[in-house]
Amino acid sequence: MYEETKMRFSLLLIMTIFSLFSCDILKEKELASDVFEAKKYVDWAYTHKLSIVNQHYFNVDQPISRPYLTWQLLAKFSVLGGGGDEAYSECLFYKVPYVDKKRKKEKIFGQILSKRIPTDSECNVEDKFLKKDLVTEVERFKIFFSNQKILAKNSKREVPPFMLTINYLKKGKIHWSSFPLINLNSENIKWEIKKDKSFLKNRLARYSSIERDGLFKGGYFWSNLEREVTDDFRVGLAHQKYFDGKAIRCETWSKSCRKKEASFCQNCRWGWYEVIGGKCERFNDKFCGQDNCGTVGWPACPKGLDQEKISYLKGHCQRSKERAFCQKGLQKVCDGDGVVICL
Amino acid sequence: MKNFRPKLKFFLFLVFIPTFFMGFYFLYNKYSNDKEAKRWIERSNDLKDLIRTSEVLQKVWSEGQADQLSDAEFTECKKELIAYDDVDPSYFRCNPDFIECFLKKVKGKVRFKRRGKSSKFSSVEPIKVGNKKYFGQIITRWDHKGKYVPNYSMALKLVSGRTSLVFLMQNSCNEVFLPQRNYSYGKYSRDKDTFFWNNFNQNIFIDKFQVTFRDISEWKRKLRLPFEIPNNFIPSDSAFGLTMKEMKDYCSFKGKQLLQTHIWDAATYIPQDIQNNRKRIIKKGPYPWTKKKVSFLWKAKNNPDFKFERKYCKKVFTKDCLSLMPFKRHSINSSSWTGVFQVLGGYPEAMKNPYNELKNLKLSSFYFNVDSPWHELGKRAQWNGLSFDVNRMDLQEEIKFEKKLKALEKLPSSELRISFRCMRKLK
Repeated sequence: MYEETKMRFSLLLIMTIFSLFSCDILKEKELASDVFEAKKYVDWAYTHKLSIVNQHYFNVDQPISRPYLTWQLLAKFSVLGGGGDEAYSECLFYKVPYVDKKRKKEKIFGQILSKRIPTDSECNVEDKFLKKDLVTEVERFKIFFSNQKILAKNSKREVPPFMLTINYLKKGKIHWSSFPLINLNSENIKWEIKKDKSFLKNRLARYSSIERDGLFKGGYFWSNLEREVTDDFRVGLAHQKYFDGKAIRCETWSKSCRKKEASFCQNCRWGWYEVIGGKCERFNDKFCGQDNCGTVGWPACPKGLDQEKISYLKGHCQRSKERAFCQKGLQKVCDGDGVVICL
Repeated sequence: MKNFRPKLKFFLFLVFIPTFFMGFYFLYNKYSNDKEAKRWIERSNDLKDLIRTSEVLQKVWSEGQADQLSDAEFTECKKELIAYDDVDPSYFRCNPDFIECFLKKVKGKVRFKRRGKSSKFSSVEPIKVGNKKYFGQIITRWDHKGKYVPNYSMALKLVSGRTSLVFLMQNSCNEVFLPQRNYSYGKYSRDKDTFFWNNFNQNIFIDKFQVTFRDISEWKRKLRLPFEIPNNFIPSDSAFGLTMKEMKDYCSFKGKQLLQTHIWDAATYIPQDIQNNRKRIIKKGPYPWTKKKVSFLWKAKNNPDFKFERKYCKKVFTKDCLSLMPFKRHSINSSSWTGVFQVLGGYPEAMKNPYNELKNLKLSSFYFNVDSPWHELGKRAQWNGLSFDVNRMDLQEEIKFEKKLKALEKLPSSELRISFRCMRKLK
């Protein structure tokens, strides 16, 4: 009798303890800071394209404090996977905390959210996707990123280039986390506010050996060699002659000098060449294939930018001809697309 | 009252059982989450180690030497690459064969330093290619179907703990940027046979060196093309014996194109005023190392008392040099203001001439003595792109071949060795 009572009591106690723990299930899942840092270090490392949104929050070395209690999108990461394909994208959001002005004490804390989305999707905090990582009870959140070194004067800290750095306070502890984006170079950073063009121009100078910058100039990283998809992105498996009309146009510019669609010239198996003429005067259309410019039946070779005062009474074709050259003895003629060819 | 107690017991039992299971589930979840958290931290630490390893490998790749290799091991690698004698050390930079040899010597274990801690090792995992195992694999846009594949790179699979990654190294050593400015084609800017052009809206990279046999044999192997290895095959030697079509196809394979003559002129004639990139009147000196029109080459032609000296071979490796010193492969001599090498002398070099297809061969080479008029920038002959027989070339000067001399050993007496290089435009 006594033994039975003792057993019943022990069982009841164990069940009570388990039951108390069950309350935690009802709480929203969140990650500890060190785990979030470790996870994002791995998830974002192979980023090869980055879009900066709400650029005014970046590099100011001041906590993001307005607008209260809203989710702000900060960045979109496009991440390379195996075999040179894009694996996924991730979006970084921050929920701005509510600050009591009089007492200067947070009443409602902020949150850091990273969501994984399919590669061609847009970032939306409301959408329900499979993977998300959340850090709660965040305050005094700052974010830094640039393709040059940043000096955060208030924090007395140097932020290296191509490393997304965040700083925040959680439960009284200051966290500094840096995430290297090892596949990224300046060309693949989409700034909300376009960068000064002269900086981009001066990047390539005499003796420059490669056009890429980033953490690893001339280096790429994949998660593995095997691909998850079977699509063949190579274009132009055989020689296509321009004069046959079969040459594949891999970059097209409209009359208003906007690209009609994303260029795929980097996937042309035999390389690509540009043509003079076309609809846009500032940028040239490009075709897949070996460059045979200047020879009979092929587009003329580029002569460079106009430096003489060209009369605006001259037509588009005439102006194009003056920016091109052909073999000696050949004539420059504009074809049906306005492209200067040599005949 | 009697009935109430059992009912209460039953009710409590109903409430407790599900909450008990929920609690058990949570504890199990907490245990798995803790395990997963530990795994993530481990993965990120492994990834940090792999990134540090990649930094070491990139340094070895771009410098063509490694601290981890002893002098004896480095010498062994040079011998294995048939690059021990008369080959410039620049040959080992961005060279897949050198990286392969380095990794073989260190048995795939690459040492890297850690801040405040002792050095650690990461492994490079060999990749099976056919029946053999290699540490590296050449990945090109040609044979890889992925969307974001670099034109040409050497891939290494690095492993640390349970994490691995593939590091692709591109050739960041052997190209040079052509500064954006006004240029003119050919010898004289006031000549009728010239035109002005500029590259303000183009970004052009030129190969610093001529294409080597190592590059050609790798291309042929990769594409499974027939390839006859020439007698006394020296990988570091400038590749010759290719037709113009083969030269273009090789350059396409690398994501480039055959060098064009007006771009070569731009890279080799020294601008009289380097600071002013928009200068319209372009004066040109005929030699890549000086703006003056007078040099030892001019004296050789015009001064009967001229005496040839060994030091001239650094600027132009002429026929006179063959008897004074061995011909250095992949040489950094005879450079230009932009940083390209092998400008005058050495091997003749073919280029594409979109302005005058009859002038597509730079003849300044070790086939001619120092007093030959071919030793000047902008001097070009015609090559049909197919034949190497000198007798079929319309040359006003006779080429006399010296069979005894080492550089021309075992070469058919009437055949010319024609080399080439590539260039690349950015999108």
